[in-house]
Amino acid sequence: MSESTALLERVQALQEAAAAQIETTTTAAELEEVRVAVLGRKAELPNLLRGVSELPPAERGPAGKAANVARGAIERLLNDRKAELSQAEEAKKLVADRLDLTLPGAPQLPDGALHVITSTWRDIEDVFTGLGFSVLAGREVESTHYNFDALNTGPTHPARAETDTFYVSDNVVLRTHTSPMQVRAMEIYDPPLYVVIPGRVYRRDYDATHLPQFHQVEGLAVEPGITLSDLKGTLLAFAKAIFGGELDIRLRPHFFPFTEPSVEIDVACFNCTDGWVGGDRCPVCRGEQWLEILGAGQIDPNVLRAVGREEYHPERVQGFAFGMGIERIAMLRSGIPDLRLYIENDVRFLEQLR
Amino acid sequence: MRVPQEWLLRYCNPGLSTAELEDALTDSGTKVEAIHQHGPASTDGFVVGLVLSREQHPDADRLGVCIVDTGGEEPAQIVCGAPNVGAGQFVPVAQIGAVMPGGMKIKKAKLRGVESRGMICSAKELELGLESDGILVLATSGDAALSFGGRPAAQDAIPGLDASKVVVGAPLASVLSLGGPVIELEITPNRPDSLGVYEVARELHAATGAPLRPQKWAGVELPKPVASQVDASGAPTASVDGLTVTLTEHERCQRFTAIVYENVVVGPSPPWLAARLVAAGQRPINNVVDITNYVMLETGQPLHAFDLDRLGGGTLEVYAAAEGEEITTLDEETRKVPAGTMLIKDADGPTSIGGVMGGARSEVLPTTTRVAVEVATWHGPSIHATSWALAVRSEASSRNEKGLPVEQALDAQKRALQLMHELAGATPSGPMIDLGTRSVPATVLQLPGPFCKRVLGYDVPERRQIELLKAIDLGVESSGTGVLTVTIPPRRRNDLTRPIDLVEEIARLDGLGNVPATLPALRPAGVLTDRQKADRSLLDLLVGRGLSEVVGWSFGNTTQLDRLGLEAGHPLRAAVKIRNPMSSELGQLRTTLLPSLLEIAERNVSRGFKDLRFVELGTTYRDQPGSELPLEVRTLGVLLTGELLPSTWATPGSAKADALAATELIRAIGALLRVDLEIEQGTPPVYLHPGRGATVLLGGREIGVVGELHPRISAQYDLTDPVAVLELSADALLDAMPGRVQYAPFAGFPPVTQDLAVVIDDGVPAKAVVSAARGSGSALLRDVRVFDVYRGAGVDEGKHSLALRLTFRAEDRTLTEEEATAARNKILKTLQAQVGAVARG
Ligand SMILES: [Zn+2]
Repeated sequence: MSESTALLERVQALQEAAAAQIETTTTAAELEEVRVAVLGRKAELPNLLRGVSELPPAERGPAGKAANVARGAIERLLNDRKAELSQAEEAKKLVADRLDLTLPGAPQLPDGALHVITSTWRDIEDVFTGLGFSVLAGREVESTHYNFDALNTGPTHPARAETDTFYVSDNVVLRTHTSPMQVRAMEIYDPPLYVVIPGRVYRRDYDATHLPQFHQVEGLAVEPGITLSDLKGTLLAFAKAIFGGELDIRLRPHFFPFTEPSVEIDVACFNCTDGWVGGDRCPVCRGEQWLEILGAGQIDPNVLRAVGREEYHPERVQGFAFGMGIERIAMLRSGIPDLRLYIENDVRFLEQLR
Repeated sequence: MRVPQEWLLRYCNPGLSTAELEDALTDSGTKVEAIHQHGPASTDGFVVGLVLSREQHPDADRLGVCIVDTGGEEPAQIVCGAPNVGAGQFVPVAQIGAVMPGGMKIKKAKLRGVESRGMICSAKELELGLESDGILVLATSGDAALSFGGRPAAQDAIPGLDASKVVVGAPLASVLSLGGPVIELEITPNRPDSLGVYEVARELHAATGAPLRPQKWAGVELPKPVASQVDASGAPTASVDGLTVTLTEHERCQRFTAIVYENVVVGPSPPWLAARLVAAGQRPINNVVDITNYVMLETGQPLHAFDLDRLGGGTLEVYAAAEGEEITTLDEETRKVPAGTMLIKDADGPTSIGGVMGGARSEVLPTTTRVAVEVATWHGPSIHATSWALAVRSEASSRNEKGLPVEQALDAQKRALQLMHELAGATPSGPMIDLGTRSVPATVLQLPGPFCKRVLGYDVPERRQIELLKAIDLGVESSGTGVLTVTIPPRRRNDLTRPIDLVEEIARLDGLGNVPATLPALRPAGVLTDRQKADRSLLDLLVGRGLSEVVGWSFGNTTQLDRLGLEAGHPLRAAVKIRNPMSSELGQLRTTLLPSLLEIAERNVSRGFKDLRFVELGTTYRDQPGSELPLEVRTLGVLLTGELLPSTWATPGSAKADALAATELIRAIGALLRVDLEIEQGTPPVYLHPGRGATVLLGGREIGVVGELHPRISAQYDLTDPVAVLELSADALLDAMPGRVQYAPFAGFPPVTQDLAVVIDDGVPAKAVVSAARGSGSALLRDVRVFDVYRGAGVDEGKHSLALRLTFRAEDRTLTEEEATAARNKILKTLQAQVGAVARG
């Protein structure tokens, strides 16, 4: 065996021994001791390297190289172990730094809530923007012209009575519906017009099922060729989105002065299939299976004429209009039994329907 | 309108159950509001019984023990609590198994230990629509006539009783009309023609195809009209034996007809008629009055009967009331009528309010023998105005105010003539008086074939269109060129005036169940505007900071403004007044959100919740002199009181709501909407704490207030903790919002911060110090923030120290501390010069 062969074998043995030692260290201090022992000034491997110069020139290369490789390998092992150990130590420290996360969090920032009228209002707006409608607002104190006359509601219509409508003066009322914006919108914007108009409206009634102020969403679609079938399709899509699921709607003939034909729209009860729930009458539809949600119809030609613009002449355009109560929809969706809860603003009501 | 089902089915019987009838009517546009049960649902088990004896109950003072013969093998023992029950009475008995109206089933029972087999019924318990104090006595044994318990007064009669059939054990239904279902219909204002049973039957016919029987009065011949003259004033007038009618106001009374009857026998109405009236919700009075009510219910045309012998001078004049006229109406009230009201007078003065209500002076009484039956056609809007002005609503006015066709008057005269003959033994004594317009030309419409599809979006074949229009008695002719010529009968003149109206008839009668669901093909993209999105964000910001949104009344009252201590003429006093409010509390529109926020807080505190954080985003209203419509401002209101941040185990020490909590929200709102909001602590509004109130400026314009409420005002609302409020014009905020922000490159050089503590007089606001620092001219200064305020040792009385954190940055290089210090010293010099600041320490 040549000298160099013995050297190479020794290098390998040292490397293996060092690896084993590194492996067994458990602290950074132990690891440092190992480092000094295998690579320190007095360690064998560096000294072996120094002895390479005494080899015959032809053997110096391979031996030196082997020793350097071994040294590099040991340094890598040392570094890796060092990282491992420091991770383990950090982990130990962090475990000791345990916080009881079942204690209340802090600081306790308070929780806020949107009123259920606003959240329902936004839901309705969002469904209709998805269906191609933009959103407009209208004034609440309105002239009888826009609230009644322009909507084909003659002077003897019962809704105009002082028992039903709040009057500010002979010609000014608190709007009884969001419909006045139909004509105002058509005065301002050109067709095609696809808008919804949410807002507060007023009628002289005050009991568990009526508040003198409540909220409606008006809808209006005007352009050539808009039909009653389009009205049904639009409101079917709306009903599915708002109440969820594959439910049906039905149209019933009705009368509104500002639409012709006029319909009321019922949505199939989302709470039952046959009017009964577990042997009791369904509390949502009271056994009727249908829920009345809105009034609608094809815009009466007299309303289009009241706009007084050639663009809206009934020979040129037609369309549909609808109006629904926001409280009614919220009531159906959240099972709110008494309209007066909306106006009381009890914090328990506000927080419950967050 | 209440329509007894059996009456309706007399004219059109499609052979449907009540539920199916309901669907057929509702689906075709005559909405069924409710089905009422008049009387018991089933007549099984209800019989006539004879009370054989009544003994006192041994253990109950108020109960009697009756032995009642009901026709069975043995008489039944029935315990009865009615005070008027006694031996010898024929009474209605509900036997074991009978089901009472309302669903209670009669069972064998023990009442205070005594067995009872059945129930003796009152009219009320049978739901016959009659008042009752005690059981219904059908007859008394030994009565000569066995009728009406021997009491002749018509008012006390039992309507619908067939006295001849009152025998022991007879089914009660054979003696008394026990009613049946009554259909309550919602008749929309466009369909006055449907305010009569016959026309509802026509709707049922059109909806179901079941045959419509002819009107009962179809073959009746009316007496010929007498020739009219013109009186001295030019008014048409006509006379028959005993009655002269003058029509001085033709525009508002388009037709006036009258027929005189002699030898009239006034008495109770027959059972069938009285029963129908009761079921329809009317009280039977006597046969003549009942005939007028019955005919109105059947034909939809109101009519009136006068006692001719009590009609002063035998004259009737239709005229417009002068200023200050009074009349005593049938309900025995004396009413002052507005000038222009249509009145009917006789020689003694006004006797009826035309089309609305008859007078007491000439009403038909049991002693009446000569009657004039009047049927008139009134101008709808005038009747409407009168009815509302006098607050008198009657079955007649609710029909007349719709404007009935003149042709319909004769339907009512014919039916009345028939019934006057059958029930009161009377015939017309002479010709008929008939003044005014007798008919107007029919409306004829052209309906082009494609029009239906254009409106509806689906096709209804011409054959079907014709069938449906004919079913509601319209004349239809097909030209063969695709256009239908449609003739409208007078009774439908009001609502069928345009082709579109015919499309509605076709659609509703064809059934809306088959309408396809389509979406408009070319609808645009729907979007919220930036302003609408910002409006949402504004509310979301505050909700995110723990506030709950409330929705308060738009209404308010002057007391609320008094409580805020607002002087007369304060802008918040410019409220819009409601002329006809629900109550004085809701008498005007709010000019500020604060009162309703305070009332909501007060209500919640009284319920035990005292840590409150509310926001409202809603409209306030200001009267604008010179403008008919008020100013409407979208307004943001916030109220904070009580604990804002609770003390926790990890963050001890709680924070209560105060003015600074509100000013911090102002800062956050400004940051959200990118508007510069400035707090100006000059003279705060009177309702704010004098030391903790401020106005909020935007671009130098006042747009709201912020601070703590004056403690005296919070105390009025039982709020003991400080109440922080803010109120801003959301419109002003949203108007000032900049457009879409464009990207601007930012340099990556790090900032340098330096702190600067200065001592200033207490009178100098922090805002002045910060703005002086900003205005110092240092091009490197990026931000100034006050991070500490100190008063006490080392600082003179009347002064305080502010600690400022100054942030400097250059866009082109990393700043050195020396450069920053130089800039800081420059700022200090400015502060010394401008706000009298002295460097501290
Ligand atoms: Zn249901």
